[in-house]
Amino acid sequence: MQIASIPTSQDYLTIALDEDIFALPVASVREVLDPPPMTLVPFAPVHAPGLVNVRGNVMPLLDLRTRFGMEPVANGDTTRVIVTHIDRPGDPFLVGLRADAVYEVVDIPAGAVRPAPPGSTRWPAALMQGVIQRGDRYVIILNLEDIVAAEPARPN
Amino acid sequence: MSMPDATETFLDEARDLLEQLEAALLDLETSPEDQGLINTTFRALHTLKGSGGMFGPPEMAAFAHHLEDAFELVRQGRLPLSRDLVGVLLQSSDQLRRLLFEPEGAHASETARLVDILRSLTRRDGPAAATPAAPTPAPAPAAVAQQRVMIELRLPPHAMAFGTNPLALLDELRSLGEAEITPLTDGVPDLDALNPAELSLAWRILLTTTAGRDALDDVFIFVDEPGSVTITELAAPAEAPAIAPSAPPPTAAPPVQTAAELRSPAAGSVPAAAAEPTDSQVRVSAARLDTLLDQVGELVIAQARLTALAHNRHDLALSAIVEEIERLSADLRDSAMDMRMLPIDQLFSRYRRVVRDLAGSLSKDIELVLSGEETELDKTVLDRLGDPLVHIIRNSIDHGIETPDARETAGKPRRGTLRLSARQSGAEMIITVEDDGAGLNRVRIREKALAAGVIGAEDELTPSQIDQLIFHPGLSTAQTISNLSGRGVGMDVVKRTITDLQGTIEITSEPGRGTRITLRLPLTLAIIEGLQVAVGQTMCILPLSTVEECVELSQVETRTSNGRNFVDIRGTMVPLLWTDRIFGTGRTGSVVAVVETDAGKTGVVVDQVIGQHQTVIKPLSPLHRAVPGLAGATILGDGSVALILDIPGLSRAQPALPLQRTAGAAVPTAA
Repeated sequence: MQIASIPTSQDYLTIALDEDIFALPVASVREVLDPPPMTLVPFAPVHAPGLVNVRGNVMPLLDLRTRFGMEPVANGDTTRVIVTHIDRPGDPFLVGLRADAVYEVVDIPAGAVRPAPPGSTRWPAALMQGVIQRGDRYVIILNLEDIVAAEPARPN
Repeated sequence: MSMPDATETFLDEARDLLEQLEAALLDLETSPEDQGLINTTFRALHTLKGSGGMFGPPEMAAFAHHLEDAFELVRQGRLPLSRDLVGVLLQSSDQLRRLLFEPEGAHASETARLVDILRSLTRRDGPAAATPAAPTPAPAPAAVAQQRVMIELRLPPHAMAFGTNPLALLDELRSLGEAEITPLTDGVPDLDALNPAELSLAWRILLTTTAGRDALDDVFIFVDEPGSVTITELAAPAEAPAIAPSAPPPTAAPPVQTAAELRSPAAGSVPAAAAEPTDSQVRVSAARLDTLLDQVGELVIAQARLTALAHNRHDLALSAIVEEIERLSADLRDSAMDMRMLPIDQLFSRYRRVVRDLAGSLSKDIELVLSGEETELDKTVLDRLGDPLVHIIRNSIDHGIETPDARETAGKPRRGTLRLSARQSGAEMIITVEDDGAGLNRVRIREKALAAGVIGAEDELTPSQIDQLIFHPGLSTAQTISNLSGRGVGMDVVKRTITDLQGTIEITSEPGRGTRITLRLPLTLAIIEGLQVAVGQTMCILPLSTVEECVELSQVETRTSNGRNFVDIRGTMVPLLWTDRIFGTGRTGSVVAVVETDAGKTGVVVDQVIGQHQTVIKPLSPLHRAVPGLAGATILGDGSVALILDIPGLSRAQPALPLQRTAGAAVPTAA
């Protein structure tokens, strides 16, 4: 009985930011959308520039590129918004994560996720939960709780 | 119903009963002979004991039993209700609360102490000692000659579901004397329509008894429905049991009076729920009401979209039905909002105790005058208003109202007055706390502010500006720290809480005459009337209650001083807020919306005024909660998101950011 309660693998949704592949747990994902129209908020944090309406829910749009310090780009053909549930205790909320593209759902064995070796990537360690190797590429698992922190940890 | 549910229901009920008990006791302090209040108190104690025995901790039930026993003497008129006794009973109701809600604590010694005091109080004036001073509120003496009464018992159909046992009532009557009981079957339906769970029988009881009217009323003390018990005192024993009492009885009491009416508490002295037993109540959790309001909010938004759509179709049939739905959803919204509205009395009645205890501990004589207790306020606002109001009241008692001697020296009545009033004005609730104390000590406030570096020595402040300083963090003017102030909550926190509730607070004070604090609060936080304005591509909402007027920028004179722009609105210079700079539209707006805030008027320059908008406030995520100038968001008819602006916040944020957008500020790239 006990064995059954330990997850041996988890489903992840893989997405693209620039040249890199990232992943987030499917359990947090509510839906994937074409970018809805956004209302810009003055004085907003640079990585969460505005608000969107998804089926009657007003939620912040978080630009993952900006969050990872990449150059902002306009919406393209493959740009998607991933409506994600952040299960913050006592204060859960929905956020739309903007990514350059959404690929697929992959099943990743629990043991395959390794801590990101320091200096192995360009990205701030706090934003990554770990990395996995798929073929000849690294896939970076996003640390959602830190990514949606109101005060972004400055890169480096 | 499962056990945890029952326990929870009991605790809910107990909380209400304790509130009723406290309110009745406080009223009894001023009118100790009010039979209605005495009965309310007794019923509350009795129910606490009864249901406490089933669902509560045994210590609590046992203690409630002691209280009921002691109070029984009062109810029978054998023990006068002294101030001391009321004091002990109030402490005891606190103890009941602790026994119920803090079952972990060690309460035994306090319980024993109170029981001892109660014993000594009841023994001294005990039944044997027929003190001549003892008032006998009971209108009829216990030993009366035999009399005949006719009682008609017509309980509501659901009486048994609420735990009334008619047979027990009849048995009790029988124990009072010779009873002739006739069932009345006129209300019994045909067999196929008969609901066995409902009570359709009624009874007429002809009772020959030596017991007084009080004893009769006692039998029906837990029958809440007015009109269900009719007691007719028959003039002579010989008279036939006629249906209508033709001859008026010789007693002082009116011939026909329902027991429930007799017991109904003094008007306005007890929460409305208790005073209107006919209005049956349903307990609903606040969370379910919130869900309902959320859904209604969604409906209002969807309906706005439908209206927008229908408007473009020019289809008469469609327009007609859309109008109908518009009206229905507006009604539904009002009803849903209504359910969340609670009388502010729930809050005010708590303060009677605060004032009583506080005045006592400071040796001050203070009368609390309440008005407008029936005014209703949204539950969310009400819940969050409790602490700030307590603080204001404490301040008034602690720092405002003087000691009786000082008042006499100043030529004022020894007894100070604290007025707490509430009234509705448009979409606002206005609450004032007013005392006739010494007023604010402006010299001291100024000294303190200087010492704290809040103001400079060269600052010339008007008296009212000095008064406003008490809302500044870190200023407390109490000469000595009493056990009341100095708990880490200052007037600055009060002000912040009120501001968070979209309200304003203002203070006026007159030396020697008193201080008045006025709170203005929106009636609800969920849906507001908004004024929709356009700033470039962005739609914004200004709370309509704050907008005084809109004028064309070209029609008014603008001036610049100290790098800020002002417009002349009928002789008043109003500072301008250029939203185009904040939103980076690159085009100067043409309309000035004059917004009244606690910091004065602000002229908000926008591109266009769209019109009035029913605004369902959507809360902000943690990502945007700290953004200055943003109070919330809402969804417009076309599905786009509009920003609800907080003008004071925007004004404060504006000077720090003259057109420059660096890290931390939004880059207005089209996403």
